Amino acid sequence: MTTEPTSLGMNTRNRLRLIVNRTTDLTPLKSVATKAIQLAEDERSAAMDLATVISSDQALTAKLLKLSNSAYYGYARRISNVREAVILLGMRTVRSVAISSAIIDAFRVPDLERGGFDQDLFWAHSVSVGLVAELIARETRISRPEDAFTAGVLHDVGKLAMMLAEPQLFGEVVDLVNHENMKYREAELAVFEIGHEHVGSRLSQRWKFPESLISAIRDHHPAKGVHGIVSMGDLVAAADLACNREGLACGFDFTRDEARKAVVALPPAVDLAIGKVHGGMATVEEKARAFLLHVTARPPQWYAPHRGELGAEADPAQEAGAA
Amino acid sequence: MPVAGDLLAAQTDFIALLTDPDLLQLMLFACPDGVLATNEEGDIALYAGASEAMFGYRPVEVMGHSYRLLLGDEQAFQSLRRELESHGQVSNYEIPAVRKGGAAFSAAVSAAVMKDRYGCPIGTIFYIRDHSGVRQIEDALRRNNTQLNHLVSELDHLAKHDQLTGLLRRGSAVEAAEDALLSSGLEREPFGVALFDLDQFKSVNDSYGHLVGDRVLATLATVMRRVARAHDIVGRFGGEEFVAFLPGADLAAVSGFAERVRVAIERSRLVISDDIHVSITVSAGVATLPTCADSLNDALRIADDRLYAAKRAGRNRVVNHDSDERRSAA
Repeated sequence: MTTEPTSLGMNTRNRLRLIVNRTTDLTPLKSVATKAIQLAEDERSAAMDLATVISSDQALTAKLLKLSNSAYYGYARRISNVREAVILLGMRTVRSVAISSAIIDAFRVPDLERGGFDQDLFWAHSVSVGLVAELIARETRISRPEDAFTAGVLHDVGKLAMMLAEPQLFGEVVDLVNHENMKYREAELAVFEIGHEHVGSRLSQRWKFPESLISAIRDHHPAKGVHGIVSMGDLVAAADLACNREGLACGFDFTRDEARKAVVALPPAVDLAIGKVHGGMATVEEKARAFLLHVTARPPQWYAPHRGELGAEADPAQEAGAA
Repeated sequence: MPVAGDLLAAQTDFIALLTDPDLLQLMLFACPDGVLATNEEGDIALYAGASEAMFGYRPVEVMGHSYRLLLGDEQAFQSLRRELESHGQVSNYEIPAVRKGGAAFSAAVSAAVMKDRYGCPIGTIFYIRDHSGVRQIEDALRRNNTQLNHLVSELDHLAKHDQLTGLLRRGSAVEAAEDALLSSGLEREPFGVALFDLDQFKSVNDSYGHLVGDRVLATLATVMRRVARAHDIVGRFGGEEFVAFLPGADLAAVSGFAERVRVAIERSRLVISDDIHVSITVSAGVATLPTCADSLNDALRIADDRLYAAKRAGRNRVVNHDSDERRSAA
């Protein structure tokens, strides 16, 4: 298990508080997201409440309908309003789209668009982890697939907070990774003395996320690796490793060096789950890209220039952006 | 005064042409429609154009008679008269007309009340066209259209239904289930999904032939329809796999439904000949919205997983929960 924040030193705890405070100041969460997060899903009126909350936000409604009618869900029937989306795609799916989209939006602040940090690749990694977590949840039934998706998308939110609140320190981390051949995890602990999972879980407490989501974010870096999938934390950790193994990593910790690529042992359920998708990880990547395209309403930077050995110049994302 | 032919050849001016009575007369008689003029009382004073060919009367037979003579019935006559009185004119007014000898036909009448310079009506002029040809075409079109609509609905039915069992095909069944969900609204009423698969169906086909196989499929379809309520949706998912969507059914209700189908199939004996009976069994996996899954697709996926769990556990059973091996997926 990871260290509890309470067992951290005084300085570290202060730094944690500082990061979280600065982040919540800089990234006010839309009220629609707060309401969607706090929705009591057992209530009979939950679906109706969710539809009402989302309908009140035109931008979110437009994104949701675009995504609903895209190949992402591959739905033959035309979904023309939030009510139909909630009924046909499911309440949890719609809610997870609302929350993910609101948080991606909240972190689109100019300070984060600069520097050596590629936010598109950060979210590309996060959404891919969300999709794989959803698949593993479907396979293992440890949690509802939609909740696993949300947890996967948000698992690294602590990294964003650290960069936003302490851009100089975070720059040092990126430097250590890029020039000193340090692993991201070691660099982060060396500079911040605290892991991003603690920042993320503290931040999600502040945002009043449900307990299962907070613990999934907190526990997604098990010290001894993932040996079985019994909690949402294991599930997200396994999805994270599965994506890193395929090179679907965040921009700054991306490694082109085969020797440095994470060698990971994962429970068989992970590959079983991914194997059930036609096309496997390639389909996951395609879906992650479609999700970001519809949710951010702009073609995201993608892995092609990093991953493709050949024709790195022909990046479809950039071509689409120029068109 | 120059004669009409000269005027036409010269192509001078219209007014000059219209002042030529010979030309006007020619035009009147060459008109392909019947041209009638009546006096203020409605008695026929002019009977020209195609009138004679259309109605069969000679001019002397109708002169001085009311134009009622040419119309099919009193009601039609009265309604045309009222229309003329109130509006002063009618255009392409469809009316039943009658020829000499009593043969009825459909006519299109355009007419206008003529007035003197003081505005007093002095009579009415009628242009009457034999509409029966158009009518015939219209009727034929209408008949063809009805036939086509019938064929289209038949084709639609064929496309949506499986011919062998008469049940909805996969796509239409799912669509019908979505319609049912959409109409139930956001209240999140329970919604049951049951997937069935005949056990060892391939060996039935192999040992007794496809005709017997078809009878087995039809038997399951009949049983499912009998056990289902009127508003339940029953479909053939493909091969030997069948689906039932039960609006309003919770897990207990949909499990009960699947169990009743299973027992009924187990008890049925398919008689092939005096000494050969085939016994069949069916396995089922069931799931519900919103307790097991959040969307129809997910519910189907879970029901499918449970169906295969039922097969693995030895067939001829209904499974409505996840297996333990899934829970401890390591």
